[in-house]
Amino acid sequence: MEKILIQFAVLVISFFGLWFLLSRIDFVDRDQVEKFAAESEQKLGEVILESITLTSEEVNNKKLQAMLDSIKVRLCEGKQLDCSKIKLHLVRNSEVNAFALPDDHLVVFTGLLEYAENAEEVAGVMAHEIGHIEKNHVMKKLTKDIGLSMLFSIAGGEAGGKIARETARTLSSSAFDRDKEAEADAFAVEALSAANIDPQHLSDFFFRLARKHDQPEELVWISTHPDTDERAEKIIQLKKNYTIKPEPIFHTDWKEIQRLVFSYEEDDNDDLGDYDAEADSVVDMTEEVGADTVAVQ
Amino acid sequence: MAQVSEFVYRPDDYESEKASNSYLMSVVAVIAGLPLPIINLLATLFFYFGNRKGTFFVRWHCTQALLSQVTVLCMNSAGFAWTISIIFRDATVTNTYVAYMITVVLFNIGEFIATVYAAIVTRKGQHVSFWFFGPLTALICKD
Repeated sequence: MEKILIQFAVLVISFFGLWFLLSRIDFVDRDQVEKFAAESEQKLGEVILESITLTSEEVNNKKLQAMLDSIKVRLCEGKQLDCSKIKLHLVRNSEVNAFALPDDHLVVFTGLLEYAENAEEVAGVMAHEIGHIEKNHVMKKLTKDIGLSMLFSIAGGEAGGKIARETARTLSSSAFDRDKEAEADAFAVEALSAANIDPQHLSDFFFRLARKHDQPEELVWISTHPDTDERAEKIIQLKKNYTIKPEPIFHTDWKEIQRLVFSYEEDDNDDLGDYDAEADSVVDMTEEVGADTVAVQ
Repeated sequence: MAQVSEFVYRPDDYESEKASNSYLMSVVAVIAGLPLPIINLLATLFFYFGNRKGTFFVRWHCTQALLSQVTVLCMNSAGFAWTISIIFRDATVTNTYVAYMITVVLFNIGEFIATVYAAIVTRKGQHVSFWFFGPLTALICKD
């Protein structure tokens, strides 16, 4: 029996000893991998954003940008996040949607501003998307859905514009898995509470989306964020863990801001025909844009 | 690692073939079952149950083959689960992971060589006892 125990001990020690000694070797140069990953993520974010702005124009209205920026700053300051790293983009699109892209890009569609009943609802959606950014859900989702090698070729411009557009579509119109959505919701409640914004608004937004039985195609955010009823209730539950002294984000009427969005849309609608034609022709040239990206590198 | 010695009696040719097959079973199953480590254990387990009422020599070697398979299965299963969590979940490739996989591969190679060696030696009617698994089998398997 003693012999068996000794031999067992030798076997176990040799296994763990060999494992320990081998683990001392630097197989994975973490610094290099992280640097490479960061550079690729940055290029990936640029390529995907470019593919979005080829078909939907980025809004350059200073008032609207300042409005979204102030929501972002309020959220970041409450949670003490690095605000500067989140690159906010307002894109002219009637879909009720907002989504995160690689390299901390946050895209908000004008459709969301039109559909939201107040700035707090927009803040709720933005806090949720910042949650995806902070928890690095975007790269995890893309790595899982598309594969690391494909992501590197998109970032390198070798994959072509069509795949970049597909990747953008994946991020803008498909859901994260249930755990990640729950994690982003919890982050949103925490961020909103820290910023003295009542998370009830996000919950109301979810409920309102869920109550829409005849959902128009524009309500994309609901299709990418399933189980809205259940999640709205969970937000109310989570909210109880925080002490909130709600303070309004803006003292101006939300309808005023919405009018600004509508007027922007109307202004642009005047030459919409020209814009669309141009966009279409640009989309056809996406392959060439991909080639340019390689040249830039 | 493997010690050839005299068994308590001289096995006949039929027994030697059966005992040799218990090792061959796991070797063939390793090739067929990769990368699922459970396959070779199941194959050895079926062979063990099929021969547990066989002669002492056959039972002894079936037991030794099974015990060595169980140990390798545990190592492989942990490696398999770790790899799956890297591919589908949030785990990342680290030095510890690479070192573990190399260790497991080395132990698998060692076990594979020992198994092939045992299959050849037992086919000749000789008795072979592995390091640790031999004495353990002797403790479990009684005449």
